[in-house]
Amino acid sequence: MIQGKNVFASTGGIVLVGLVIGLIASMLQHFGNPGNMGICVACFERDIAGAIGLHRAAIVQYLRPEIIGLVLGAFAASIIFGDFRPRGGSAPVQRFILGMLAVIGALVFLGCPWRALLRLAGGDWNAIVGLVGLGCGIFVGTLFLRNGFSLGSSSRQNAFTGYIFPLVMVGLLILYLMFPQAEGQPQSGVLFYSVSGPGSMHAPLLLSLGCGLLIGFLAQRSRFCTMGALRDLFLFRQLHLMFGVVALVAAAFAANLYFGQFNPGFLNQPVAHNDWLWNFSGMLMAGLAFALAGGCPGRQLFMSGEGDSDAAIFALGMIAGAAVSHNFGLASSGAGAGPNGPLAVGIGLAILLVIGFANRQKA
Amino acid sequence: MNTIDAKGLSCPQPMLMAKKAMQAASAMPGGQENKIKVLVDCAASVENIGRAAKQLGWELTVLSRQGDEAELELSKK
Repeated sequence: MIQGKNVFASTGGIVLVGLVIGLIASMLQHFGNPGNMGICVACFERDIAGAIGLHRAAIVQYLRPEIIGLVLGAFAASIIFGDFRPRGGSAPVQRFILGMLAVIGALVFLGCPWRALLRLAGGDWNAIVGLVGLGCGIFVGTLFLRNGFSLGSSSRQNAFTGYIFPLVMVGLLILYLMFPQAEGQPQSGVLFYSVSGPGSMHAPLLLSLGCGLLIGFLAQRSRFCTMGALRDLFLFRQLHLMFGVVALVAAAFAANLYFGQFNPGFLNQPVAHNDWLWNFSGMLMAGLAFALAGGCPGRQLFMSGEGDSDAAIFALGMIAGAAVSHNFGLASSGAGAGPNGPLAVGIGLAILLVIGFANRQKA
Repeated sequence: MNTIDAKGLSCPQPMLMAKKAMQAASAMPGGQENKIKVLVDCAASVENIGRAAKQLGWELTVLSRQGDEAELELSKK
């Protein structure tokens, strides 16, 4: 165990991590990932749900190695630096529901906060509407936090509890290696593979996995979190995490220019729609869910790598929610909101408010 | 001395609790409440509370660290 000062907790550290994520995301797009989707935790968990057959939307099925890498990279960093802390028991079922609602909202917008930033850096101005929605959702979340919202304490668990989620990721990687994609085939063994659409677009396995591992390792050390960036700004007037977010956008923008991936405009953007109302409302819902759960989808993966079962349950909720989203026609497409998306946002926001009010604890 | 037990809680709650306590202490006349003890069990919380303290003109000292658990002292500069 290495103890001592954490250099990544400094401003320079968080900026470095933001730059690395932005650069890698743009590069992953260059090497095959979908447009403005070098890394998207919500989209990639949705693709994993499809790969294991939880939903059958044929264009979004691929077992994304980036997600596996993010968790295992964070796991490695937490073991090496003594941050590994098996814990859990803080309102698990509510966190599962929060994960489901978060991804349902994110898939109405078409992206997690990371992708919203990457879409902005790629010139997709619809992302601005989504980011405003995200900010409003997080702001509502901070009102609940100010008024005593808490999902309660977690408690220490045995080490194995902390290993479970990283082991699930190892299991998924084994499945990928046992049943690799066969050219032009929609299925390989138990796994589904898109032959067209975003799910068919991906960087090579080792590159995806390696980039995920690197980001997971660095982000665990720096506590990089997009939701936290806005939350800390609203709650504490602190810019620390925001420096990382700005660095991410700057690096992705520069790299997009270099790779010829910057296409400014509102229309004909990759894997995006131009419906303002649902871009805003989807992210409003997602932002509130992230704020109540204490982390954006990326941060939840890193915390689950550190042994946090509550974060792992949120991530599993996101995978389940992504499946529901596609099975129930809630997810948007390039054409606009899904047939039941608007209804889902209405119900989802109502459930989030109930969760917010029901968990107020008076000091 | 005022003691805040934020063990088991994840940020931002430990940070919110520490900030509230520091603001309350700063508002007290006479400067009697110029030290606050905080118990946390997460490294990220230590870093976060350190940043909040700096912002409010307080200083954070790690009194002891045993495994995950840390005992912090906030003192008004």
